[in-house]
Amino acid sequence: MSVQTELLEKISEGIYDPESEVDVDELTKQALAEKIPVLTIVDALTRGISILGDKFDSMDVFLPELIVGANMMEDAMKILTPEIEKLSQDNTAIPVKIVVANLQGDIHDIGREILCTMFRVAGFTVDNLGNDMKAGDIIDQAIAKDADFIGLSSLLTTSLPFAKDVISLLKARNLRDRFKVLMGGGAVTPDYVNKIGADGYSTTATEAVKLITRMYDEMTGVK
Amino acid sequence: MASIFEVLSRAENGPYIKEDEYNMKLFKTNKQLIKKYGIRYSKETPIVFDKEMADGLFQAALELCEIMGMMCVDTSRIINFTREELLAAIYQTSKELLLGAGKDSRVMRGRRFGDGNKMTVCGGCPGTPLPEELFLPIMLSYAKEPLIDIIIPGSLVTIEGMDVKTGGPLEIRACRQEMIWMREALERAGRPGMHIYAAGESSATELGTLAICNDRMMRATDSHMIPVLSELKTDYARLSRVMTGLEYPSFTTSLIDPIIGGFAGGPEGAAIVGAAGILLSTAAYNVQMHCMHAIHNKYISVSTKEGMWMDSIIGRAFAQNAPVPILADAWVTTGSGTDEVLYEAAALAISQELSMLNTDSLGSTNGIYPNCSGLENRLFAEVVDAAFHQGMTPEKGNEIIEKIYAKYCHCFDNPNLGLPFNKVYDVKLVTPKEEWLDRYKRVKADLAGMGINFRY
Repeated sequence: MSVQTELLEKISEGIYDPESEVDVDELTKQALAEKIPVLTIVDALTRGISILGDKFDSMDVFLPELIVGANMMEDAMKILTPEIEKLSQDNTAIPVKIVVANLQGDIHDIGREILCTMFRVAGFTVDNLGNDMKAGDIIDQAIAKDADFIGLSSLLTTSLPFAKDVISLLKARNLRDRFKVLMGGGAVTPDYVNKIGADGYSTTATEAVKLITRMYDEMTGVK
Repeated sequence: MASIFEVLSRAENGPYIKEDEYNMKLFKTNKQLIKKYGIRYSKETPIVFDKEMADGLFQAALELCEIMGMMCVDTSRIINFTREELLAAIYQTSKELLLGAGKDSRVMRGRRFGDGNKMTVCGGCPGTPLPEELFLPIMLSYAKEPLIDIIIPGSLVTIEGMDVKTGGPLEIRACRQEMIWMREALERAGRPGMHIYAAGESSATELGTLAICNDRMMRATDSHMIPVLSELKTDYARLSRVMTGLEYPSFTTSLIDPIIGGFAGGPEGAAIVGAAGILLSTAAYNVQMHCMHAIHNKYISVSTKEGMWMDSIIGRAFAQNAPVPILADAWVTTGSGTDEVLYEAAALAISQELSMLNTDSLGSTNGIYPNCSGLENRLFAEVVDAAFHQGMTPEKGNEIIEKIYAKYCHCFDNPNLGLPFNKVYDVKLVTPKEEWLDRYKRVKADLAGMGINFRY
C-alpha cells in the first residue's frame, strides 16, 4: 500500500471508527501537503462517513458517535474548502439548503438531531432551528437562510396541527412555491402529509436524504 | 427526601451545563459504567436471569445519577442528588398501591421474585391518536375485558373536528372530554371504580392535567403522568405537573423513554439510563409508579429483542434491590386484525411477567394509527395469566419467545398495520367481529402448541 493510500485509509478510519483516536484534521493537512488531489481526500472522508452511517443503521455505533464523526468531517471540510473553491470543476457537494425544526410544543429533539447530522453528512447546508418553533418563525428563518426545503418534525400528535399552519401561512404569504415542505417523526403519517398538502414524507433520516436529493434533481432538471 | 422547593432551588442554582455537553458526558460516562459493571446485552436472553448483572445495573444507575444528576433544560442547570437522597427516596416510596375504588380497585406492586403475585395488567392504547367518533367504543372494548385490571386512555386529536394543538385551548377541552368518555366507558362496563392510569393523555402540556383535577374527571384513585425528557432531563412544564401532583390527591407516575441507539448508547446504556430515570424521578418528582418505555432507534417497538432485554434487566434490578411499581410499555409494530400483533403481544406478556414488571398496555402500530382493540389486550392478559400459573421459568420463557419472535420479526422492516377498530369490532355491540375472533383463536392455539398452558 502506498503512503498516499495509507493516509487516505486512515482518514476514512478516523471518521468511521470512534475508537481509532486518529487526528483527522492533521491527516487532512498532511494529505494536502502530499499533493493528494483535494477531491480524492473528500472521497476518503465521504467513504468514512458512509461507513459510519451504515454502522449507525446496524446499531454498531450510536448517535453521539455519529455526531462526533459528522463534526470531524465538517472540520476537515473547512480545511479543504479553500482548495475546493480553487477548482474550476463543479463542487461535489449538493447545494441543497434546508431548515429543520420541531413543531410548536414539541421538544423531542433526538430525531431531529439525527436527521440534521445525516443531512450534513450528505453535504447539504442545514440550519437546525431547534424545538418548539412557531410556524411563522420557521418560515421567517427559511427566508433568512434562503432555504430550498423546510423540514418539519413532530413526535407529538398535538404538535402535528402546527404543520398545517406552516402550509397555510406559506400560502397566505404567497410563498408556497418557494419552498418544498417535508415531514417526518413519530406522529407523522403519509396520509397526513397528503391531507395538508406538504411535499414529502420519510420515516428515516437515510430516506430523507434520498428524497431530498431526488426532489432537488427534479427541481433543477438533473436526470 | 428533597422537597419540591429544594428541587426547584437546585433547578435554578445547580451547576450550569450546556445541553450538548450534558448529552456527550452522559454517553461517555455510560460507556465507562457498562464496562465497570459488566453489563452485556444478549439477544438470546430477552428475559434476563443473570442476578449479578442485574445488581450491577442497579449500582451503575446509582453511580450515573450521582455523576449526571437531572438536567433542567429551561435553566441549563443540573439538579443534583446525593446517593443517600436517592436511596432514601427509593426505599421510602410505597411498595404497594391500592388503585381505583371499591370492588374495582386493584393492588399495584413493586414486584419481587417469588412473592406469589402476578403483574397488574393495564389495558388501553397509550399514545394512540383516536378519532372522536370511536373513542368511547374503543375504550369500552378494553374496559369489558375482565383480565384487565386498570385502564389507560388513548389520545383525542380532534374536538368537534378541530385539531388539538400543544398548549392550545383545545387541550383543555380534549382532556375533559377524554375523561367524560372514560367515565362513561367504565360505567357501561360495570366497572365504575376502575383506576384510570395516566389520565389526561390528550394533552402534552400541564394544561390538560390541571383541567381534569376534579372528582368528576380524574379522581384521587386515578393517576396522571409526569415524563422525564430523554435522557434524564426535565423542564418547567414537567415540574409544573409535579407541583400539580403534590397538591392534588391522585397518584402520579413517571414516564421514562430511554432511546436504544441514542445518547444512552445501545441496550446496555439505555438500561442504565432507564434505571437511573426511576431513581431520579422518584427523588425529583415524588412519583409512586414508573412507566418504562424502551424506544428502539430504528424500529421504535418494545417488542424488539433489545427492547425486551432492556425492560427485563431493569425489572430484575429493581425486584432484587428496591421493588417499586414499574409498568413497562408494550408498543408493538403491527395493528389489530393481524396475526403479528397477537404474537407481539404474547412475547411481551411473557417477558414482562417473568421480569417482575407490570404492563402499561399495547400501543398498536407504535401509537401511530388507531388500529387497536381490546382483543389483543385480552390475549396479552391471558398469556400473563398462563405464564404465572404454570410457573414458567425465564429459560423456558426465552425458548418460547424465540419461537414467537420468528412469527413477527419480519414486520419491523415491513409493518403489517392491520385495520382500524371499526373494521375489527362491531361498534354498536363492542364485540370482536367473527374474522378477528377466529384469527385470535387460531393464534392462541398456536401459542398453546409452543408451550403456553392457557387456563381457559
